[in-house]
Amino acid sequence: MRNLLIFLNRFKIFIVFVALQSIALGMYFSYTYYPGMRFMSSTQSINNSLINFRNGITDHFYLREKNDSLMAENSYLRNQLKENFVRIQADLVKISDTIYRQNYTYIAANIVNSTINHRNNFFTLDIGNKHGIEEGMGVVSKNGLVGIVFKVSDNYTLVRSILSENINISIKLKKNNEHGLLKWNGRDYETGLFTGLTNDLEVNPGDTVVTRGSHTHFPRNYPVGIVESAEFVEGKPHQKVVIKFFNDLNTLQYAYIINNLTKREQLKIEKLIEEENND
Amino acid sequence: MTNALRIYSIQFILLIVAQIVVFNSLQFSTLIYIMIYPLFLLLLPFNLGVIMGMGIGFIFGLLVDYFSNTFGLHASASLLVMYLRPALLKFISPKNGYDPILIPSIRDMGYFWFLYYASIVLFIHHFWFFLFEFFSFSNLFWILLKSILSLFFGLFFMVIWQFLFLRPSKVI
Repeated sequence: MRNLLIFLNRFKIFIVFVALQSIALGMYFSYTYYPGMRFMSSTQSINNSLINFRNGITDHFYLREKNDSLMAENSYLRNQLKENFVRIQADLVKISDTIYRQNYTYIAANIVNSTINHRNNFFTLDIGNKHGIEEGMGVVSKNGLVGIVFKVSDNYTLVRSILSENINISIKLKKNNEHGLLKWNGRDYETGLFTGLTNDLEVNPGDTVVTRGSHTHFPRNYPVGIVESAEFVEGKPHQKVVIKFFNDLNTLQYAYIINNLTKREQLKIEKLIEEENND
Repeated sequence: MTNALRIYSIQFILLIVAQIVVFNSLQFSTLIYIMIYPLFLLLLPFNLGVIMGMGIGFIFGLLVDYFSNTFGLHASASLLVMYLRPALLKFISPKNGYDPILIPSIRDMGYFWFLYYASIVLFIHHFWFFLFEFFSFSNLFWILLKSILSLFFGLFFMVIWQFLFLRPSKVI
């Protein structure tokens, strides 16, 4: 017992160091790889007053760009209004449409905080629980992907950016529907990696990449980017495909959160696969 | 003592606010992440106990983590730095030891000494931080490059900071 006490006393600094270090790193890894835990993040209140303060200042610098971008988007959407189309044959247009039903609704939000220079980047949006946001919803900008909702508080949403290590969004080539996963290598915020394309597939620079729409986050065929380069890696069955995102994630000012109206139904029926496998 | 305590608490708050409000939003490259908050750890008194120092580093790091979505990584790097700092200070100490009135700042110890001391401490801090952030050895060169570039920019702002917000400790 005395020896133990002497031992502890001699190494007490090191023991304190190891204990605190394991708390810190344990927190980091459990949060990065298993995000289910409730702990601490910038969706909480004190932080947001600071972020809001900063955003109140910086917002003005981007007003012009934001307006231009919204105007462009408005005119694009206006072009698609029903009133703009001349009816060719009066009987063909049906007003109460029962063939299509809406599956996705979009909720607009301002981006109040964002990073690009971490390994796992996040966006903070200025809407939250009160506006019907839930964890796991997809987030897009007007011409590309932004990320997936990671944490929600009453008034704020933390979004795991597509500039993250384990983002793994299903994407596909538009031309032949070959699908794979989107990843990020941590270096260039304008490009991502399209993994899972085998060597026998023909992938050319310039091919369009869109979402596959398989995990309830995003609708099908939402634009992601174009293939920048595709090369074979010696001794590996998969090609290394680099895609260039359509949107610039560093200057993004607003985003849309996608609410998938049939998400629960899809998850419920897909759960049957797990149960089937367990039996 | 109360005076020192006042200076440290002002620096504590100012540096955290500067890190969150200004430096966390300077995003001009994926290679550069400017960290100015370690200046607080650098400025702590020479004769601070190791365990006390580690406690301060850990809590300070956690606060920064809380505000920048890194979940414990800043705390981990700060803790490491505070664990190694006393040994490092001993290693680079002048012949007749440190004057207990002084603190490790440019104003008190001079440019050369501060830059030498700060770049060693910051390199350890940054390298540890980015190593665990990437957590893969295939990116080692990138991690080194990012540490060095971030360190360079961080040091630059730390030097400016000290001229703006710190006075020499010795009143002659």
